[in-house]
Amino acid sequence: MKSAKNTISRRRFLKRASAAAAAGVAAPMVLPSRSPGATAASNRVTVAHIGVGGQGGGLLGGFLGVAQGQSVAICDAFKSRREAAARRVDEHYTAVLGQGSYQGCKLYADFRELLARDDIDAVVIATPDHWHVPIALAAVRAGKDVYVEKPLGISMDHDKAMRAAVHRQGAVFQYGTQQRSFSRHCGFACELVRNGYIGQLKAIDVVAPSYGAIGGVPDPHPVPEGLDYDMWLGPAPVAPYTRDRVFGVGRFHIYDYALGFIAGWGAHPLDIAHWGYPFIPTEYRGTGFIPTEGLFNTLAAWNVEGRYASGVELSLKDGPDSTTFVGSEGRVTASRGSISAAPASLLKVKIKPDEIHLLQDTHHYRDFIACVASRKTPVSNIDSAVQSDFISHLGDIAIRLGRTIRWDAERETIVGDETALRMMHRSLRAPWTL
Amino acid sequence: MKRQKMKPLAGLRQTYCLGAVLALVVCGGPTLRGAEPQKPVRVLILSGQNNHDWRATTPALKSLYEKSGRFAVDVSENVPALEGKDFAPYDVIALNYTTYPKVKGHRWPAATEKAFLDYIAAGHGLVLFHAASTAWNDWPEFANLIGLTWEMGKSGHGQHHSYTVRIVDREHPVTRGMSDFQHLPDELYHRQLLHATGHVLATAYSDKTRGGSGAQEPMVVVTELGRGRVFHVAMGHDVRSMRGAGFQTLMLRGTEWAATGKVTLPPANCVLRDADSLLQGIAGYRYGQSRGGLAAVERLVGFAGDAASQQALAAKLAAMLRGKASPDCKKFVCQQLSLIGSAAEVPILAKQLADADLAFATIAALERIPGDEPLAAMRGALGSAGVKMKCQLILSLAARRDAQAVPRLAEAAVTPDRELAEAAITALGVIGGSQAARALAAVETRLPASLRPRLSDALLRCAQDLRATGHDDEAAALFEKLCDPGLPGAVRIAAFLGRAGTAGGKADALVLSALSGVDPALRVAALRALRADPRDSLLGAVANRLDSLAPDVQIQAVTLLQEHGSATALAAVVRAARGKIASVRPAAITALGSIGDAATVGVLTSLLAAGDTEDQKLIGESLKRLRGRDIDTAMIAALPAATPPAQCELIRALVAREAKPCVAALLAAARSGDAQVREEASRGLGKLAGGADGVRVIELLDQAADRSGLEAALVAIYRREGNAEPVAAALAKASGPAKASLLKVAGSLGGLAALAAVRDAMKTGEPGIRREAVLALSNWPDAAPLDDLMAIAKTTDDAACKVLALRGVARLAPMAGNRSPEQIVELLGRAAALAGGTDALKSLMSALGQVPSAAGARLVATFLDDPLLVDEASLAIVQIAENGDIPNRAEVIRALARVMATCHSPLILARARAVPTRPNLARGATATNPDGLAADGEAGGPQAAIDGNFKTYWDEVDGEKLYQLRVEMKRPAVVARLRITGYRQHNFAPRDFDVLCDGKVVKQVKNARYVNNVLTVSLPPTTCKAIDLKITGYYGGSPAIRELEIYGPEQ
Repeated sequence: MKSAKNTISRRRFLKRASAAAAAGVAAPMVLPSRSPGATAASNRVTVAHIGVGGQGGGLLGGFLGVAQGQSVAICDAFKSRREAAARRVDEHYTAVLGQGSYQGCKLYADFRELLARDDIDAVVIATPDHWHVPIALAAVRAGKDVYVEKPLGISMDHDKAMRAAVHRQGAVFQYGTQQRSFSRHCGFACELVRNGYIGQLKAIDVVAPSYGAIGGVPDPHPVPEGLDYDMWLGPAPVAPYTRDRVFGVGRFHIYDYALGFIAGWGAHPLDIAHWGYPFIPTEYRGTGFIPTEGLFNTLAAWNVEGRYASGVELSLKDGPDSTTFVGSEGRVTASRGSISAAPASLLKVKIKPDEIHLLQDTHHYRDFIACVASRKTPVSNIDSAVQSDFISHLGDIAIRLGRTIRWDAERETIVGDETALRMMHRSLRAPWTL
Repeated sequence: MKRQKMKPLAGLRQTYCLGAVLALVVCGGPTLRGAEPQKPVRVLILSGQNNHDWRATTPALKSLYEKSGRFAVDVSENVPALEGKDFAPYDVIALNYTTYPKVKGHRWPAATEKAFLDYIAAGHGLVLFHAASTAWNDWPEFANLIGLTWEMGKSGHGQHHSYTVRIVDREHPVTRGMSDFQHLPDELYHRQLLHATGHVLATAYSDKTRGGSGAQEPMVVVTELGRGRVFHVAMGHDVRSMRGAGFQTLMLRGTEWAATGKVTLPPANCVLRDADSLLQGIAGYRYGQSRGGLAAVERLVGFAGDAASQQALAAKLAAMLRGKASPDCKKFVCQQLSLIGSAAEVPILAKQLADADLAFATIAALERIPGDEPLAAMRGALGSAGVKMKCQLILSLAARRDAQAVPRLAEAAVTPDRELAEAAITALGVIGGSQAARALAAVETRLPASLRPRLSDALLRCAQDLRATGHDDEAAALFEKLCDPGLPGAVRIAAFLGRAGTAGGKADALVLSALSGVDPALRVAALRALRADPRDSLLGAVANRLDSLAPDVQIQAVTLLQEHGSATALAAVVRAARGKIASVRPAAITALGSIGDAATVGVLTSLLAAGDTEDQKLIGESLKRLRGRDIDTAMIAALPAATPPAQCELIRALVAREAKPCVAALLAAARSGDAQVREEASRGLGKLAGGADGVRVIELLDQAADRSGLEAALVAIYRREGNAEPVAAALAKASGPAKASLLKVAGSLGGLAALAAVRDAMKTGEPGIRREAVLALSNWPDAAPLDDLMAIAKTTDDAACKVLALRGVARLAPMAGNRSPEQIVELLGRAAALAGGTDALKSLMSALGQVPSAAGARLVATFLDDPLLVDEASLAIVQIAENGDIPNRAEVIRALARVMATCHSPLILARARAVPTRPNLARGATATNPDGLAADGEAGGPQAAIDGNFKTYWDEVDGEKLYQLRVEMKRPAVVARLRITGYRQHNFAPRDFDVLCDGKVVKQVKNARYVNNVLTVSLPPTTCKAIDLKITGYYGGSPAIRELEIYGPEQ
């Protein structure tokens, strides 16, 4: 398109900033004035990152590579992490400018201050699981669009609250199930299913890995310098600080912060299951193993059976990740790295132009940023995220109570089991709310 | 049989006499109803020796039997002295006896054994538990009889702990009607031997972290012998564990079944009976200790499926809160009460609110218990609570949407305490509804400015809640106020969305007005409202006034019109596509691709004439995407009149759409006066033409220009056809430039028909044609014309032809798959002898370099002295040497030495020096992947790691914990060194791995550091046939290997 007059092209924008930099001013980037939420398709999207540990750090790198975005702020409960991330952002833009020294990335210890800024369009949230929804809710209500890491909420009430907020604000939401973009195999498998190439669907077999779920040393330690532990805990109950609670994989396997990998890893293959067959089972039963020794207390092994209202059956087990759709005329198995099918000829099918196509963009983060500008719905949307997260929760509840759990998909509630119903809700420690 | 007083039995040291049968029922369940008085089942307990405490357990067992009212019990403490006649008076034998650890050599005399088995088979029963599985370990028939036996040195048990027993056969008389249960702390026997005769009724998972096996272990096994039955329970280490309700149920019903074949005793309520014991076990729990006891109680809570059990269990849990349990135990108890507590437990929880340490756990329980009682308790605690506690109570009441809390919250909202005020305002928003909204409105003016934003957030939530509960009018009024320009953009946008959702019939007008308005935030909001509810009436109205909207609004509106397939909006979108606003055109053009029809073809074509290059790409995309009837036809019709750039786009689109009917038009376009069009048309024909049309394309060759495009098209067409005869036929008839082109095409296609035609062309025709023919032969896709080319080289007097022929020989010879390396070298040698100049010789050197032959190296070495050829010859020798799998390697190494002496090129010398002087043992070997993982992306299978081709690589799916590559050499050899080339330097390469020779680990590598993507691993010299790499750590997402080379020790 003809650039220049009504839009700031990237070149121009950077030229302006580099002029400022060349003048020796290490000033933050001055963004062109704009009205809230009114980013035209070509305008730069400003991005803040909340949670820049292992996954968040990876996302930061990925988002820095998206040309239409600009990362302007970092928030993390760990001082060293937020400083390192901010340095990385500054170095990146310094290299992009080619001269001078960019120092525009701001740091925050408290995400509320970050969300109060008017000039941030979107927020990437990669905190421990128990914080995902409370922070994302605050962000959406503050007018920001959100990229939220999987799994979604620590309770099913969390999930519902998130969905309501996104719809009420007309916000753009992308779920961190990046297989929908980065893995061609997953999209293709789901297209085969949606377009009827495996005949009538009979069963879906979902497998998600379990590792690191047993162990953890509970001995209390002093809280390290530079960690705001109370902020790290946030809405979760107070518990003695110990290294294994917060570092390594601990926070993924402690029930106060996560369901465990039935959700933490399960989100990926379950998301694909939902993408290929957008419903969830109405009946769940299962067995599993929760360790009693050490610090970790979430599911370390699981074997869930579900049945959809249509009669299709779901199995959810632990093992190398994959999603298999079994139909009356064939089956296809997809994971991020591979795809296989029987008959093998299914792999050669070319989906026709007027059939259902699912892939939106081959780059999950770029898809999000582009949607922030265009207001289209990203490929991993909130409605699907909620449903696939529900499956993890219902499976977990079924195993913990040792009973068959029934789900009313219309009213979105567990029926016939008062105890299980209560497990849809979790309390938050003040001052945090949904 | 009449009941009789038992006489002291001969040979027994002690006998317990049968006492009066007691009619007490032990189980918590109902007694037998309506049955006639049954004869008691007569049990003989075999006791008197055991490595367990039989002096306590036998009386316990006897008591259990007697209290049920179903059994009459005798005990024998001198088991070895028993004889066959001693069993006869009884219906069932209960075994609480073993000679463990001396489990062998203590059998009964053969007669007794036979009598015992006969006794069972005659229709009597045997019941045994726990250590009895070790008895008579050397009596095979007994092993089969009891179905599950202890194996010395193998069977065992972990820690004493409470575990879940799962019923796996719910149809068997004993387990019918029983549920899974949590067993009291006990030993969990693992790795006992289950015999084929044994049928498992129940299992337990043996947790490794408790010292178990990690497997599901049989806990209850039944067998049958003749008309007799055996019931075997693995639990029951001591009196305490024997108190377990589930254990007792199994023993009672199992014994009844073993004796009679039927079960009349009802199962116990295992939840309530064992609750006290399990709860006692956790009273002292402290953070950091094993959570085994807590887990047992959690299971219990899960098993309490009916209201009565839940209430009873909740009451017991509440009692612990009143008692001296540890704080950590009480926190846990609160968690359980949050699941099964009710109003009855609220009072104790309310009292507990005063305990700061337990406050959150208590409140979390109150938050989950339904009804007003917990809410009243929380409200009640507000008065005396400190600020932090008040905030928590407030927010928890809010989470329950407690309308009764609103007045207190309204008060708290205006306190000077900041934290409290914030919590109260937020809480009012969470509660939602009219009352909260009114309370917020009432305090608005009394709040400091800094709290106003929080207030509007809360009001917004109230409005949203009112809308969600159907109070549209009230919601609408609130939403309208919240659209006030003074409020933050985010609030206004959400408020507008709410307005649009509650405006009923006025919604369209509202949205349209905002869309066209001057307020940017409302424009944004209106677009979101449109996106949220894109009803046709609204979309149509938007389309009608599209031109009048601000550009950024137009863009999003057009996108929405596209997403909702609004064909009625087509006219408006067309106008936008043609409009003057540059920023809107791209969105409009893209939208046309989705909603356009045949007429849109003309629109897009004329836009192409306007010539904006950015738009051009989008126009092309839209042409490709147009759906519906007659689109292809319209495009074909538009072709003749379109401008050349437009024609190019149309052709590209038609090709992308695979519109076969356009071939006729393409044939016409291929004669266009415009070079671009001709090129595009040729390309298109290459993609689409077939059959008879192919000949039409051949006919196009009579025009002078764009031959290469047509040649490429013909190659594509006839490759697709799989039949080059039309080309061959045309070739025979053609002349001049057309013939030259057809020769090129034939050369690319290959095949017998083409070969015959080219051979003919060689014979006749002028020099130019002959040269083309030679060229065609030398470009052949396989080595079929090899001898032709040799003959030509030999016989022709056309110098150019000779060079071409020799070059052709050089190219084809290495492809001659049906000739041995020696035969190919011989042929190349003959060709070299024919060669006059260095050009041809250079090609021949290069060809020799690809043939793995020592004779070839010898031949090439003769050219090392020619300064014009030394580099090519050197390179060829190096290439041969790099190829590991050559017999007569010594000769190659000698040639290599000569290269080092004569060549001056630094690059080639470096390569020569890097050639391992020993052979790569991996060449000719077989590679497999025992890890069973699938290949990833474009990677080859395991063989790609040893195929000598660095372009191909072995790679499997990302993120696995273990990868394994195995290379099996043809013959055992001494291995001492590995060279591993990864995919890229420290990016997809093995990092931590074990090297195994014939299954034994010889080297462990951790944190491998590569240099230029190559890793050298030295091994202790080991003779073996198979090398395994077991890889657990890697750079990148998986450990890819381009080449794995294996070398012996230095000579």
